Amino acid sequence: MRDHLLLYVNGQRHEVRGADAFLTLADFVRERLRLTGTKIVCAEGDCGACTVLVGRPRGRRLHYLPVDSCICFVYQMDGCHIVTVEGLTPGRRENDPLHPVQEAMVRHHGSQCGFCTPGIVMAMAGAFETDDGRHRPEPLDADALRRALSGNLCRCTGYVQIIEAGESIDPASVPPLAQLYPEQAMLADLAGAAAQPAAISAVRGGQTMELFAPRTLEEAVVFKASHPDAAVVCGATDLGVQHNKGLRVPSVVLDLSHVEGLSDVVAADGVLRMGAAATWTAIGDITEDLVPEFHRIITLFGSPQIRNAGTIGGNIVNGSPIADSLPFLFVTHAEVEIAGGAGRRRVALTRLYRGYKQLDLAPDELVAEVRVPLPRRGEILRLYKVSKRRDMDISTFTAAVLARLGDGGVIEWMRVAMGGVAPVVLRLARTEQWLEGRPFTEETMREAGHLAAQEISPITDVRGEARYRRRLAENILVKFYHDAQPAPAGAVR
Amino acid sequence: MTERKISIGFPGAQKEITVEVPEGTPPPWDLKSAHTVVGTDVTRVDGAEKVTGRAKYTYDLNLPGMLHGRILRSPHPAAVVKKVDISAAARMPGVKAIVLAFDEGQIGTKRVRYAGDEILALAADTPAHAEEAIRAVKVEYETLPFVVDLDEAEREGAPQVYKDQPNVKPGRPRGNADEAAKRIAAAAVAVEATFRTQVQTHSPLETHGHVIMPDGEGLKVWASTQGVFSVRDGLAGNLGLKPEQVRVITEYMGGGFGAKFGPRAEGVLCAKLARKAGAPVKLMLDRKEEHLAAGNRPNSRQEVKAGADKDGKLVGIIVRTRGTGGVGGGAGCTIPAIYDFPEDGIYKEEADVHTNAGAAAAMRAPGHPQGIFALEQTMDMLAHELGLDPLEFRMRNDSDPIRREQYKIGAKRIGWASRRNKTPGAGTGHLRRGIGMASTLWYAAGGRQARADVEIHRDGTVVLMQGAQDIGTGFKTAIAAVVAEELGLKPSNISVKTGDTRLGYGPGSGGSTTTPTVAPAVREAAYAAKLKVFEAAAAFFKSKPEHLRAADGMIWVEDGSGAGAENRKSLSWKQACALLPADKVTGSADRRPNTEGFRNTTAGVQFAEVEVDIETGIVRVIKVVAVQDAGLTLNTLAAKSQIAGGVIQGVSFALFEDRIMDRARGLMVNPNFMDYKIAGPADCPEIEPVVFQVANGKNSVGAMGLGESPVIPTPAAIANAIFNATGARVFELPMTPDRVLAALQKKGGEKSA
Repeated sequence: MRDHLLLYVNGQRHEVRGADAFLTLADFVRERLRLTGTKIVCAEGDCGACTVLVGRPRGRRLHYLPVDSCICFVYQMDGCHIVTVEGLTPGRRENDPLHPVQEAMVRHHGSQCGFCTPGIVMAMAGAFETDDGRHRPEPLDADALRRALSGNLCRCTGYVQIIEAGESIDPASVPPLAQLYPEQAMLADLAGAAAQPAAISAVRGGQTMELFAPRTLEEAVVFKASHPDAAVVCGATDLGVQHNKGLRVPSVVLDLSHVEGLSDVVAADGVLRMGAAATWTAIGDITEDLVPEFHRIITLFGSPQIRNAGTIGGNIVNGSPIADSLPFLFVTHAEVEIAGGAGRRRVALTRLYRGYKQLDLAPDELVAEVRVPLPRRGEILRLYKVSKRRDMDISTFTAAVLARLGDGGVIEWMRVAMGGVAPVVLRLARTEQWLEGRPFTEETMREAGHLAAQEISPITDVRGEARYRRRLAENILVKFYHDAQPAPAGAVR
Repeated sequence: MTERKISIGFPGAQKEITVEVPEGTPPPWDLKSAHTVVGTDVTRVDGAEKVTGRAKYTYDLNLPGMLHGRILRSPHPAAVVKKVDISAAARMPGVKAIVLAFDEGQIGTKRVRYAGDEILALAADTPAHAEEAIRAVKVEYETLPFVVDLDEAEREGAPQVYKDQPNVKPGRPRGNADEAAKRIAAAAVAVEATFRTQVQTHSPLETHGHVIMPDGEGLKVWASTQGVFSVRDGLAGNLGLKPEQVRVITEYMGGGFGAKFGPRAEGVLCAKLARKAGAPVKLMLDRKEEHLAAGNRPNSRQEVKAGADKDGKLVGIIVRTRGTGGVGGGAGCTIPAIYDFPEDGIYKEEADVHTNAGAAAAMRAPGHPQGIFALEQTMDMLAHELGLDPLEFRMRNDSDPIRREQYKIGAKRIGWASRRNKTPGAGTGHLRRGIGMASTLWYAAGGRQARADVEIHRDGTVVLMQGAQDIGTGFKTAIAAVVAEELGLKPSNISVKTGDTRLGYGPGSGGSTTTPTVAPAVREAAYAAKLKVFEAAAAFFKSKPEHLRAADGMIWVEDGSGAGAENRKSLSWKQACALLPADKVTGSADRRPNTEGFRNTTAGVQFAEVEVDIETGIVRVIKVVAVQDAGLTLNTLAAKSQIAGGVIQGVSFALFEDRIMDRARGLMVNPNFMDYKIAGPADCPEIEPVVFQVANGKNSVGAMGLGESPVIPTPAAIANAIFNATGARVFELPMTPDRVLAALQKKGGEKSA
């Protein structure tokens, strides 16, 4: 057992003990290390001004990804190398050249007030990092840059020149971080620490705080059984926000981000198996070819920074009725495997939810894995997310439709799930039943829409009015009908 | 004083005028001036500082012994503060000072008027201790009835926000209502509609805040402000100091958009804490406070009637507007100055309505995006009634020579003739595209007070000193470009000191006036300093100072032969400066008043293309062409950034932003960036900023302000594009999917928000 964390920041080794382990990473770099290039603006993962690159050991490499440092905690950084904006040009003196991303941002006037700039520079630099630690082969085009920066807000510039700056960068000129820092030496040092679980106790503001970061699921389950109130943390994208708002500062933390195998994602025999700690980035990568429709929605429901931290386990256990992944998991008949003191059990995901954020999960149980039977050839899948903004916005309404058509365009079966229309994500059983065996026509779907609108119980809140959600429930089935038609030649979707 | 002929205007609308040029000042730049720096793409002089994270904002400062301040705010929208008990808080670890936000004698009667109103502030050794101590303060409130909604607040019997005055405060009407009504009644076509716009918060990324250090009897202040001099004067006034006892510094600041003038309540509290504790105090608002208590753009309800004759000429307009700036005022909407309404056909009345919400503050073109949203949709509705192309309708009613030219440029770039639906909503499928446009103007010639000093050192170093702050627009770079142009150097050769009340007076960054006000003084200071270098160099050339010329880093005798420096006797800048009689020479200049010149206002037009999903109501802005005049644009790179930034804020105001109040509890429900959405990179349409150069000849430089104008027409252009795409008009901002879908349903029905 270790009583400290080991991490590197801009190549500097830090052993972190006591209360500092419970700071957000942004506070740690700003307040403790006085690296003030990293800004905290929204404190909830919406603006990216706090973006840093986190290098995690993966095989014989450090794999760097952009993360919002204001909603993750130092303890999650155990065994990592963090690069802040000050670390992009190690050893740079006054008149030395800037990093190519920085240089392009200056040349193209990518800043006005400049407060968002460090975060934008880091997100953009992160987009040039590759899995193999070499140079990115292709330049980033405007679309790729918009995606890479979808978690960053700028209030001044209108983004145009930021995107132009990114497009102008020759990837061969961007040094991979693996070349800027002694990767192997850091890896060797970090690997020693990684073998052991970390346990840290501290007192802050009169409150005791305890962290346990196990390496195996068994250790985790044992700890959870003896600490049923422990906050289970993977990516902390939700806990981080609650922490910053003072809504939830847990005294006991069980950090699953270092549990071996819990982040794995594999597809075999038509089933996609995702460890509870698998990040949305990892899931997005594997689904790109496997289930492009799910991949598309993943790229919409968070920024790279959020997807690099947030996990499927967190999304499921958080149980929000507008969780973006749930409608898909509902229509595909996903199952979760739950590990607890009494062993393992499997349950259909739809059965996991009892009410608004109420889960069928004992205090000593942890979600270990999610299994998704993949849609088969001939089945039509469409996923919908309606929000004010296109990216990085909490949904007003979500829906998934999975259907199989029989001969002569008859609906063999159709599964419909909707979110944001009731305290939990709903499967629309009555609508589905009505649809079975009917011809797949616009009229049928319009009729089904009316049924769907009656089957839900939406409310009015900050993200939309009940009336509007009902209308969406109606319209989305018609939209599905249009989307399911073969696109005419040359059409753009 | 000499007389000089200059050409002003723009190619196609050129004008020759004679101006008087005082001794020792340069003649105004005009259409014939050949520039090498100004009017080109100039990279920011502070770019490297910003991209490396080295730029230190107020928020980043860390002084030895610095304390952290925090404000306790009312959780109630309306209440009397009955008791304040700080005894427990004062004993909390690390607490060094506590100050009330009002006189102690007011306890028992003090009314707080919105959730977020200041109660007290305290300072402690760490942010966590300050936070804990705030929670330990006990305040007893007697809650009062409140009202947060515009329509409810103006009703008879609504709870009164101020005890001794009604909620509705009418302004002075303009024009003759009967006459205007008569003209509209007699018009060939008339339209009538009610438009609504929402409350928008400024949402700068750096929140309001200060670091204040006691400095002898006075104060040294670092402020995230757009007006260092107004912070100085405000603090001095509030603390009984002389202005010169307060020094305010703003090297970098993270955005303001109109909300950061003067010390405001949080600055005064911070200063009092620093004096009481005898230590520097940092007090930055958090994101929630920024939404609640740091200013906003008021909402509006605008009832509009207008008419045109059968030839498509405007005959009259009646506008009745009301809006709420919360406990503050300033909710008026712009007077329709763009189009050629006959003066006696205009009637306008407006009123501020108080509600129990945070006070409004000037926000980027106050009143204008709101007013233009109504005016430009009204224009489109009239064109539709007349069966006229909306652009043709504007051509018939807009005599502005600049905009008439800009309409042509914009129409061509957006593909007005080919891409617009001749019949609105004529498309098929569930994704419908359409094009719309709107116009803008601003009063932007500058002219308030400013003083600039330019030092030239014997080693060739040039230092420009000017006290105004760079809000982020690139003011620092723009004035460096002016000096570089005058001295024949590069902007990077100029060391610029700004944002410090110890330097020459400069205006607050508001009203699009900073650059146009300051730049002429800067040029004249540089010119005066240059003459001193010329004097020193004249002996070397055996010539007179007035015959010398500085360009490309060289100085030579200008003989009119047109030959470059390489073929003649010349000195490099450094060589010439080495001849100076003293270590340094200084040129100083005060801003002189503007002369008549070409125009007082700037002009612009915007064209927008949108795509509307008629199943979900989601609007995507595809492209915006923004043609904008800013007089002589000093830095085209910065100008494009300013235009695109205005457009995206317009898109954001049009589609996303909305301060939502819970009417039952009187609280803002989205004081964050999770639910208060501002546009991100993926919402950003293709933006084509077109810089339209005009020589205005009003002063030695002729730059006009650019901060505000480009944000004004965007929401209206988008609304008109939605109509062109769908045949449905949205009368209310933000144009959320919900409202667009509702508009589609009642297409052609009632005309109001």
